Amino acid sequence: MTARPRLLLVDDEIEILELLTMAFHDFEVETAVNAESAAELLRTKHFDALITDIRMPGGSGLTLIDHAKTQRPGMAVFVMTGHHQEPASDARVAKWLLKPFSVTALRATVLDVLAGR
Amino acid sequence: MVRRSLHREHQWTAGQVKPDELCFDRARFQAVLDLIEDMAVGELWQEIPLSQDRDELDALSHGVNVLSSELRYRLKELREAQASLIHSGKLAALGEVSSGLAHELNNPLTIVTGYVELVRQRLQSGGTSAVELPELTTYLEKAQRSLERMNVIIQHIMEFAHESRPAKEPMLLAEVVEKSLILISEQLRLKSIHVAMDLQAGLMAQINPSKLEQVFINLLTNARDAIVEAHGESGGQIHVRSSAPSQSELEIEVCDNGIGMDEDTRSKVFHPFFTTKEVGKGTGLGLSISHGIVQDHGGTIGCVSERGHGAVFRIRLPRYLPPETGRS
Repeated sequence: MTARPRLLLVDDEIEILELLTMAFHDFEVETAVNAESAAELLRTKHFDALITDIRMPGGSGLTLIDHAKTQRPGMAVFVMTGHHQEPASDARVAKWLLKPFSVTALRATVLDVLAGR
Repeated sequence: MVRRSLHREHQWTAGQVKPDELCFDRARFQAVLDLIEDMAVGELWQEIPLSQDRDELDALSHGVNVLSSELRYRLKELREAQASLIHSGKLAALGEVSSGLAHELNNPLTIVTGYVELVRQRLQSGGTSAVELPELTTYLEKAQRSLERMNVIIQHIMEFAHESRPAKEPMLLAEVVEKSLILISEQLRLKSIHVAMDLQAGLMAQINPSKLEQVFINLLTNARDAIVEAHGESGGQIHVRSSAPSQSELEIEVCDNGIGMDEDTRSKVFHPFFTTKEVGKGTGLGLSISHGIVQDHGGTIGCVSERGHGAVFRIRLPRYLPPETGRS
């Protein structure tokens, strides 16, 4: 890839968004605090990867993934969740991460998946 | 006096028994009567001394002593069972909120782990130069803030789960309400439920904080479920308000815009084991335990509701007025 990869981060916790923005400082990062505003960004902009929380007020990350896959089938999707009862396997999702996760590992996974495309 | 009312109930008084109808010592007979009447109002610590004669009155006295000691024992058992039920109810309430708490802890834990990793990477790539020090400091400060947040939550879970001392102490009602929100706010936030607080400042009562907090958690959990049943994931409103209707009383209301209850459900809502939730979803004990706790605080709890129109739970407690200071 020549241009910096474009990444959309979605979590209702602003501090998580801040942390991941730092961890992906060499990416073009945009953030959203809920599924609705993330869907809006997906409608208007191109992203190479989506990293989203699942349980958020006002709409589930799962609905957002449906939406993302319809709009941008080629986009890599990563899920971060604090809840163990989530399915943890989903063909649409490249990697499920359980909070607390390592940002180094997340970064490595994202780079790996993007390199393989 | 208590004794007089007991006599009235039975249309009979000890004074009506004529001494010549008794084959026993009048004073000893009266002592047995008195003890039985004391037992009837729950005073169980006395025993009738037996005489040297070992007569029929002694046999009766001994029977009464045995009965009294049995009652003491059963009462103790009952109190222990009640305490254990309240504690189980508290742990059940904690279980109810635990998935929210895990989420609440996992987020700051992710943040701490993340910043520690970032700091380590910067240091490994030669980040000790003066230029990057402010950045590293910021990372560590962010990690520290998250640790502090985790500390508040963990401290509070420990306080709450601990079997509480039976003692009540004068406390600010608002403080108890706010603490109960520490445990449940994440659950409410995830369900898009907005909590509006309208608490009159300075209201105090003699409170056992951990138990009263259990009541609020039960009411808030109940409100959450009623809202989810009515509106699904689209959320709702809980309004908590407190006031002092009189000098001697304070009132706190928890109102929700959930599914509400019909009259039949409403009338049973404080009955033990009554639940409208699916099997495995609710014990039916939360509100009945809450009722017991409020009563133990010398207060009352009631509910007003209509199916489809939300519910209001109203607690009234004796108000504590701090002794006035600064006046001679």
